[in-house]
Amino acid sequence: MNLASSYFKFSPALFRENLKRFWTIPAFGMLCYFFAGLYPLIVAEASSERYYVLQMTARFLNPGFIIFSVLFPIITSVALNRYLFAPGSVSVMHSLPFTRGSMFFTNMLSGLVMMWAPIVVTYLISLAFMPNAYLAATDPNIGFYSAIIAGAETRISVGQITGALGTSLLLTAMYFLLFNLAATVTGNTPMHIIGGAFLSAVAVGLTGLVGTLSETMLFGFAIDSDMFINLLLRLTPIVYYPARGADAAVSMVIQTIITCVGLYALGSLMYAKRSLERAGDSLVYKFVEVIFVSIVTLSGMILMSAIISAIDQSNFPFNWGLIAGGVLSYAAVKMMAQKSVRIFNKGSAIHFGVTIIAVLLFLFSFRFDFYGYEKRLPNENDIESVYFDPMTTLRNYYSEAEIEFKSPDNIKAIMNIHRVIAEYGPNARVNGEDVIDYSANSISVEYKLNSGTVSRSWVTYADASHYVGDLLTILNSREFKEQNSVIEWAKPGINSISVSSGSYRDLNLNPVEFSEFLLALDADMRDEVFTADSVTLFPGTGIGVNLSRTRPTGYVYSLGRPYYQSYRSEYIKPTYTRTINWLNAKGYYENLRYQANRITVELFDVNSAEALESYEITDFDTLQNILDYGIFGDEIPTTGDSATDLTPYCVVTFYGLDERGETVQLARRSLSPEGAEALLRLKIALAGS
Amino acid sequence: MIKVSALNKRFEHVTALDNLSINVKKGSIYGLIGVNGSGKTTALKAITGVLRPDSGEITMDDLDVYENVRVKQRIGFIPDDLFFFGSYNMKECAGFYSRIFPNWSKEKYRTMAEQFGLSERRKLIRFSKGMQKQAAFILTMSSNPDWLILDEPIDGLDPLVRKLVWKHIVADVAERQMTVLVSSHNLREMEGICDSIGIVNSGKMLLERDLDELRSDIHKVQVAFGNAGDKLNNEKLEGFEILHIEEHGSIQQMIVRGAKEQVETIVRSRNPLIFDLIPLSLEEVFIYELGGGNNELGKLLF
Amino acid sequence: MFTIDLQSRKPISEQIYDNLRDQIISGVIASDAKIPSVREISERLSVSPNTTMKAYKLLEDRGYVYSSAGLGTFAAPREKWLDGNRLMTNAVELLRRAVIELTHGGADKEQVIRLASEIYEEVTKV
Repeated sequence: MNLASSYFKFSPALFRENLKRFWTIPAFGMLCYFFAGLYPLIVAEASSERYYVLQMTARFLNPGFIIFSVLFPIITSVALNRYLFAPGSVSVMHSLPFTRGSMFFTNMLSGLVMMWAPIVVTYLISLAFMPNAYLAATDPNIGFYSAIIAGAETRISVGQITGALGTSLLLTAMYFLLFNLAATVTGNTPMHIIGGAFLSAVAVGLTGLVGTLSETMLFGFAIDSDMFINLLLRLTPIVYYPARGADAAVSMVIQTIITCVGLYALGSLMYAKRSLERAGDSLVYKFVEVIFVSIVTLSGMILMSAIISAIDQSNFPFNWGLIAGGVLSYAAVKMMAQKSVRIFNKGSAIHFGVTIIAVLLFLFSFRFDFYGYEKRLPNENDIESVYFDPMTTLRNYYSEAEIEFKSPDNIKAIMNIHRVIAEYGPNARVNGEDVIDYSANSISVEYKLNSGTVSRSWVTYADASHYVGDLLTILNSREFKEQNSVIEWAKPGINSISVSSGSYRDLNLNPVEFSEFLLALDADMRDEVFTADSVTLFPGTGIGVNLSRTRPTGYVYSLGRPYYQSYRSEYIKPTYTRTINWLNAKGYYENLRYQANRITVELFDVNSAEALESYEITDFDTLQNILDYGIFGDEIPTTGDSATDLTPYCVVTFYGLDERGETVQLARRSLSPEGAEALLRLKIALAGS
Repeated sequence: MIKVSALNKRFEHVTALDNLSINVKKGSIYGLIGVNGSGKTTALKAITGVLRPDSGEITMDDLDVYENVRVKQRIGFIPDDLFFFGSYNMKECAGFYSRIFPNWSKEKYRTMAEQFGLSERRKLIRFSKGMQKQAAFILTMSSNPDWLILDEPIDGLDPLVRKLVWKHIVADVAERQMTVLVSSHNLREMEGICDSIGIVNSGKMLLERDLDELRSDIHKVQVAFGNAGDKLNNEKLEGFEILHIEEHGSIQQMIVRGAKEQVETIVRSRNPLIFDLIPLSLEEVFIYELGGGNNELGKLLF
Repeated sequence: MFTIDLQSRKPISEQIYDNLRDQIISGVIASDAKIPSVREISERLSVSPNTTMKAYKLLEDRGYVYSSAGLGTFAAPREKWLDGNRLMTNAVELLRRAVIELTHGGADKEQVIRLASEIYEEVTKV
């Protein structure tokens, strides 16, 4: 018996009987698709409402369609495979003159016909409605509803409708084949459904699991939502279609078809090998039980340890929740698989032990970085460009780090910094606790390679002092100055500019002043020469600038904004003479300048809330020198959660007089050890003179 | 004919079939007898190609059964656990069967449906169990199988229906040499209709014989000799096998296997003082054939 | 029609054989008359045709019946019966004993012959 006749033989008699006895499925399906898609269309009053429905449908975002694309395959698969789950029906059906292959094939075809008929009919009918509707122009500069109101008239193309149709057909076929596969390895209908759901979720779940573990345990790994979603979408058609709808790339369609063929082949094989006498058992194949139990146990362990770590702040995932979760979920799923409470035997114990060990190994492989992820750098020859914002190492707040370095010197410098941070590692935590304070830095780098992207994102205690040389190379390079230019940044359209300091918050500049100010600032920044001191001590004037601009998103959200805001802030350094002069001339500087009459300096030990040493400086000259020298660290917030969450090294508090002549605290700022040292040196020097 | 050789099947930790062999001659009505759980149903399911045995061979007219559509088109199987498509009535089932069994006869179906008096339009699941069995029987017989396999067929049928069922089976056997394999736990009911039987227990074939032979070959002999030296003992004499000897004083009571005339001739030639050839009931025959120690089994089968 | 006794230890095929043979010998089934088919007998008795066929084969072997292809099975005439002579001998022996009994009972030659004649008439009339 060759492959063709065995696996693809079709039985017209069986096909006919299937359609005869399950005719309610396509009938009901037709009804559902009608009410989900066509009915809202027909009754929609406003053209915008009608349009909304059409948009959703044409893009396969109609929730009704999505639900039915999942529900009907499940119902159909359950109906067609029920005969496998009772000894009576199994005996009769398999004594009839069919091969198992032809039964599986014929049932599959019957199911596809029953599910696809309503879909095809619905779409054929909708072809009559859709082209006569409105579609907003796809110009991203025009809002969604504005286009309708403006009366833009473009037809929805037949291509779009066909795309949506094809998506429906592919999605239903895939779920159907997936559930058919589940039927061949399970022994009753509840397990059939659970098995199918399990199979649908495995790819997604495991991706999520690996992502979470990597993020938690690998230094430098960060799930940025785009990357994660993209990976998921690439991996599984099941997530893709509901997310992307009819915007299916050809590669995705091909992948879906291949997945369907694979599911069918696997199902057919499992059916051929199935021991029919196990009808009624939960799982028909021993190895399926092993895999199922193992994965569920793994998930249970991770889940439990996540819950426990959230409750008592313990380490994720290595806490007692891991073992507790393992025992509970293993017991539960084993009982379900064997349909009996009596699971306590040697075999179970061995399986349990092996599973636990395997899971622990899996977790340890992340914890101890068996993959060498943390230390791995890309091949220099492969790198096209690198996205890196060196200013974040200096703790400047800046969203959208889009500085792209291409010069080989800069790239080398970046890689050196990468190496240093990776060496420093995540282990240098204060007191072994994960307290993020102002000594920690959030740094990310993204390498664009010929072969793809490699990105890292660290929260690290390695600061600028660890990689000064390389940092200076970058900061003083022409490439950086050009990329970092505020004028370039503001080009799309500057929204607002404000300046602030400890004494005065958010002084907004007049829009007419924008270009002047920007020119001055830009020139100053270009002229700036970074030194070792300037990157470790943060000399500043205590004055900061906040800029915001708007930028188009690049694609049209159906109901979202086509633009979004981005922000940038810069510290004004003592060397920015043009800017300072401008601020002076316009009268802003007066208000911004610190009028402090007293400074206290406190040194802390990381373990205590009490200061080890404290100094007070009231001498006017010394004060002015300090202010002029610009040793200002980071602002310590006085309100909010993070106000109490700190273990800074050194705190400098500025006191001054307010309008009523009373002494008030102007600002509290924290300094790094180097900054504190410089401050003390200065004080001592001044005191001496 | 149906030939099963060295069938083995294990479920988890239970051996259902243990080197089982069955031979059913063409045109024979063979009874597979055994208590519940002896492996009869498993054997029948293997024979009809439902289960795959761990090892062994199953052929009908030297053709493999498993996954063989041509052969399965000529097999008729009625299991103990009946199953019909959910909402179907007998007519709809007949329609389906007529399309998958090439030897289906519409006239035969009509005749039988009328004879049994079953409504063609009523949903089969609404029938009583007995009527469902009758419906299954009609459908199966109408497909004119060359091999008919029945699992506990007469369970739940009243005597009149039973007679009708056997009548049809016998007619087909006589006419077309249909081969019949029937399983039952009650030997008494089968012994009239079957010409051969096989007794299974714990998945093993204990005894497979032509029923007629079984009846004629075993006798109870009561014999006494004047001379103690003339006594018969456990020697196997030609055509005459002593299965069992009991002695009460000088009287020997024996169960022997052999042709009646031969036994008579041989014993008389020893000039016994007393010689009686006593008829044995079939039960007693079985008990001794099964090895004496299987008294329990014998009781169960009757 | 006859019945078979399931309780008897006599094989069923033997019982069928005996019954049919008796009917043929006694003339209930006349010579060259058609006997019921295997099918008919099997159906009526609810026995396996195999078993019936064994009986028929034995009947054929012993010369009591013959079959004509397509037409059926028929009772053979006396000459064909294999143990026809022995039957005759037995019958004669039985007659001798009967005559002894009758004469001991007081019957004379004419009475015996008359009796025989009456019985003959009676038996052949069927």
